[in-house]
Amino acid sequence: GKIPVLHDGDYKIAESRAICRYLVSKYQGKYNNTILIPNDIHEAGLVEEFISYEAFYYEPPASKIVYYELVLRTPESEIIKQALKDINKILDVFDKLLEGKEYLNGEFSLADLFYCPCTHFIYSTHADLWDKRPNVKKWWDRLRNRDAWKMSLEKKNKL
Amino acid sequence: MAIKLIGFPQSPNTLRVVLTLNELGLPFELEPVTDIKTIKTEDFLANKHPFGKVPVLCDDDFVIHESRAICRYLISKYQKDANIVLIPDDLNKASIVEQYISYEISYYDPPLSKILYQEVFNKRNGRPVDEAVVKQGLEEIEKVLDIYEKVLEGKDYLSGEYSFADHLHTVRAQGIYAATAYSDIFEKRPNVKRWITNLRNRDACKKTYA
Repeated sequence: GKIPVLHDGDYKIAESRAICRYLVSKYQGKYNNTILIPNDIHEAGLVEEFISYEAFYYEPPASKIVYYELVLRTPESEIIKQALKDINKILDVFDKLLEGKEYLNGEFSLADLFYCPCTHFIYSTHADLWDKRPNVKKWWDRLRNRDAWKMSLEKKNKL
Repeated sequence: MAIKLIGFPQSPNTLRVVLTLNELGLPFELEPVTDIKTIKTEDFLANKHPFGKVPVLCDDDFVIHESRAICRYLISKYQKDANIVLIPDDLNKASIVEQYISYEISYYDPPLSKILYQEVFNKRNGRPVDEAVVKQGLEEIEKVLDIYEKVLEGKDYLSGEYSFADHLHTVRAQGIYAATAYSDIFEKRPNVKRWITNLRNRDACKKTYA
């Protein structure tokens, strides 16, 4: 009993990360030149590392902040304090990894995209976590200025 | 091709990769980590894993970390030469497998890893077991497995045929059977029991846990 669920013609698929992978497999390169998962096995493997970081290191604390601050509105909770510590550690590592790079694996990929939703919400109340780290700040500025992201927010705001 | 896997031999994350290597019939060398300090050095952080974690796999000169990323890489590269299909080529079938891979990450792994952290990791390190955490983990996994019981009606595997999605569920199940008194969560649901028994009886699983 969860959403999102995607219908593509007669085909139905659930689970957001599975939906994204399906869309990439089917449509990547067909309507524009954006490559979200590289065809090269080794480059794809490196993108998968960053996808794994997002699922296991970033999302758990990030989603707690979203839930406790936005949904429950208990911003002083101990859980949020610990979650912010975790996010700080992750962004310290990312600031080094992004040295000399525009995106996590050099070129924009599905991995970068996966960080956008939670970051969008947390940035509204904790912008300093990103803004005080020069490489992370540039990376987030690039991501949130992408046309696709801006279009997605416009669509969301109209709903 | 010379594959070396660096990791804690008993860690579920290392075992997850070993299981994939065995399913694909790939020879490899396991380099056990005996001292956690060795994976926190500047050199390790710069060249192996920036978060100071294992497993890390070296395939000749290519270095990759994060167990599920490693498994996907191995499948992409070696599946066609092995006699097994872990991720189908057909887009629609592969996407359904991805759905169940997502279930494993989102619904199955979190409660089981909470239980196993208490029952295995804390006990091994002489720390007390937080029974409240175990209880919450059990409540969560019971609800998840109720859904799996329906999903597996009339099927031996999640998407019908054995896939990477089923494969990913094996390690935590092995942990529950081997090190806790909670295997009943699988045993009392006939479809789940049949599924888990199939997973645990696979040659690759027996070889991994021998």
